[in-house]
Amino acid sequence: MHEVQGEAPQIFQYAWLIIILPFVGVLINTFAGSRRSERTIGWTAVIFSALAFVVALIVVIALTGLPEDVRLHGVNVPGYTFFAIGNTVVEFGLHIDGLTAVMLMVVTLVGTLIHIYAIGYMHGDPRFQRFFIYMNLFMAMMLILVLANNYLMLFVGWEGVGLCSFLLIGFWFEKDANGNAAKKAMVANRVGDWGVMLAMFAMFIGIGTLQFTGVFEQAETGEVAQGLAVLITLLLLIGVTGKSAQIPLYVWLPDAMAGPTPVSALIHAATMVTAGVYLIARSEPLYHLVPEVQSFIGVLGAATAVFAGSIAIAQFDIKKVLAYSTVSQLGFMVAAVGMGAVAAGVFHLMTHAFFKALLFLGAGSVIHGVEHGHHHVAHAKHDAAHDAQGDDGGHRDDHPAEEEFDPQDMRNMGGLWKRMRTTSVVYIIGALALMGIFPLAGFWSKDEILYYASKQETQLIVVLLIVGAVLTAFYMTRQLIMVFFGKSKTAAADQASESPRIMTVPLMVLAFFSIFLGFLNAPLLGFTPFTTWLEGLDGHHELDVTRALFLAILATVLAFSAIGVGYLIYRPKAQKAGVDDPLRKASFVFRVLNHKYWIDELYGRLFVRPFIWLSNFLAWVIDWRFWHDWFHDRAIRDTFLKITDFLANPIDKLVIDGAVNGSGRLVAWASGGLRKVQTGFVRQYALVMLAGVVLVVAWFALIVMLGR
Amino acid sequence: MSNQGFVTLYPLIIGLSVVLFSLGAIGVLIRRNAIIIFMSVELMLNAANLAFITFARAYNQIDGQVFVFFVMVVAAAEVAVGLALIVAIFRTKRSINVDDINQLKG
Repeated sequence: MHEVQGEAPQIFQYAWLIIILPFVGVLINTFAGSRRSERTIGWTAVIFSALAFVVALIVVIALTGLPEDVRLHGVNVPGYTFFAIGNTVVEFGLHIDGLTAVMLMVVTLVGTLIHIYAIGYMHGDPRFQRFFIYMNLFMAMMLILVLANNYLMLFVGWEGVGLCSFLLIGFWFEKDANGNAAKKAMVANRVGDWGVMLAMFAMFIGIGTLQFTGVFEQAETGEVAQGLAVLITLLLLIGVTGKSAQIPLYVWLPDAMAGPTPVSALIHAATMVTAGVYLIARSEPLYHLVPEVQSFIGVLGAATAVFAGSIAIAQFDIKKVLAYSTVSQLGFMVAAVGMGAVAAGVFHLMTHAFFKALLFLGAGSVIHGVEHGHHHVAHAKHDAAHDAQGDDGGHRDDHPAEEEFDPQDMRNMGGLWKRMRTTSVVYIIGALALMGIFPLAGFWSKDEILYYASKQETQLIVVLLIVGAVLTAFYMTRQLIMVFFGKSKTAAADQASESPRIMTVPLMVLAFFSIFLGFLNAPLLGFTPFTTWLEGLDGHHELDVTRALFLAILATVLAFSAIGVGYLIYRPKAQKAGVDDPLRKASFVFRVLNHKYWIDELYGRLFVRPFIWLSNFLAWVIDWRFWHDWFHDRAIRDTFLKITDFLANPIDKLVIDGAVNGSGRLVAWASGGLRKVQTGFVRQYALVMLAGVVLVVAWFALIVMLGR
Repeated sequence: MSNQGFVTLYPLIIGLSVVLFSLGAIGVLIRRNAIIIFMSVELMLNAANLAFITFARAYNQIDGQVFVFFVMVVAAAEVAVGLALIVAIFRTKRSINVDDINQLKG
């Protein structure tokens, strides 16, 4: 491990700024934002995000200048000791290597573009300020996650992005469904995070350190027992299935689309959901020890890819289709990093971040446009009846009567090609990249994964992944035709307007990357700087050109066939009136897919309902009847009352009061007798005095006589 | 000065003193007029004075005579205070009967 001091330049110390800058944005917008205009708030957030990008770029450039083994093993930037228990010391610091650099670039660049886009998208929202605070906070947390040099600090970021995800999914919490989606995401992720925590405990006990360097050194020297490695990797995998939405915990991601679209793009497509992929890639030395777990993850990821891809076919919500597509693509990545093809997986992570962010933002632009079209139509109707009602700003402040209209439903779209030219073009670029059409970004990254999958012992993974790729091409064709081509299906779509420049410019930048990013790793062209960057020159295996070429051609041919089939099914001429999807003819399969295999219902039966029953039992029987009614009211309260009653009545009233009143009464009685002595007759007093004197004298006389 | 001539008289004088004292005591006990009671008290005091002087002479010691002066001074003071009290009582109660003065009875 190379410390910053000495070998590596001091410039890496400034990497802390990458985390600190978005935090500064959070603070400024929190404490100085409430009276500022939308412009100021939005651009403040953008500027701090962009500054983080600039610093990250400088750090990456500095990393380029270092020797290869330093870049592969990572530069350790010391921070401070978080805690030390016995010999186990957790040092919070930064770990910067090739993988970190890729993640830094993806997070800060895509993040900044989405921030800019969001200024346009969130225009007029009553919680505009809060939105940008959350977004900057998310950036900071995600950067902590990728820069961490130990599992605990990674977990801090891991939880932080989870929190921001929760806050942003439920951003429009006025609608119950959005709040529920946020809760669902929180709960599903909690299950995963539990796995990560257990994995950390296992490391703490079994390996004795949480630092990446320490863990990986021991893993490479073979000091980690096989069983322990299996345990840790499987527990980490639970976390991965939660965060990166794999079977069986993927269910939260489609619902997470309840959040604003920039959130879907940034958190639920480009960055946060790839944290799981990053975690496996980061822990590669551990996964390397256990090939069985690796192939299991490969199958799991590939299965997710097919499963989610098939669901995407039968969805009508434009963002839901993309969400299932994201789950499917994450399956590709997880399969790749699971198989040990870290460079391929991370490469797909990077290209996917760009084109999926592009697709989501494009979808946001479409929704935005359709909503505006809808407003236009509604206002035209309104104006006939009422005075022109002033637009009260937010495009979400709908009139109650308009709530029926769903601007995200693809059945309400169609023909947008004519109305929204820029959005259509960039969206189609993103879709082609996602389908893996040569020579766009997705082609190269997906092909790389297929190539590694085909070299596995079991051919199951590669077959599943190819099916997943074909499904991708099919559902994206369906979506493109439904949204952009044919005739407008509603008046709103007919009146849709192009989004403002502030939204379309980031789309164009992302489209640019979606086209050209793939050339960073094009083994067929003999140009692979990305693999070199991540795995070094030694990391290159002999490329089996025949196999690679065969797979590339096969995948392309299949993708084009899928596009063709999709076109035949969904082409405008084939549409019949009153049928929303031609596939309804295959009624049962379509129903199954449309209902997402009833997985949500299954989970509802299996986990949610018993859980609610258990909570009710705990609340009503254990807490209320036993704990409250019996233990508190009966056991404690009644016992207490009995004791106090005993103390109050017999003890206090009889004994204590008796003693006090008794002595008082005794004195009164005695004095009542004695006072009679005072008769008021002076002569009597004199007589008594005389008698006294006589007595005293007699006493003396007696003494004198006896003394004699 | 010769004491011889009086020696035989000493018991008589003491006896006179006893008689006077007893008369005074009886007067204090049986009379109701506060002034009479006062006079009886004076009688008792002077009976005591007489006894003091007699013993002083008999034992040829001066202490008894000194004591008499003290008694006379105290008696004079007492009479001054006592008569003033009686006058005050008479002014409020229009009577100096000691049996009427019983407001402090229990």
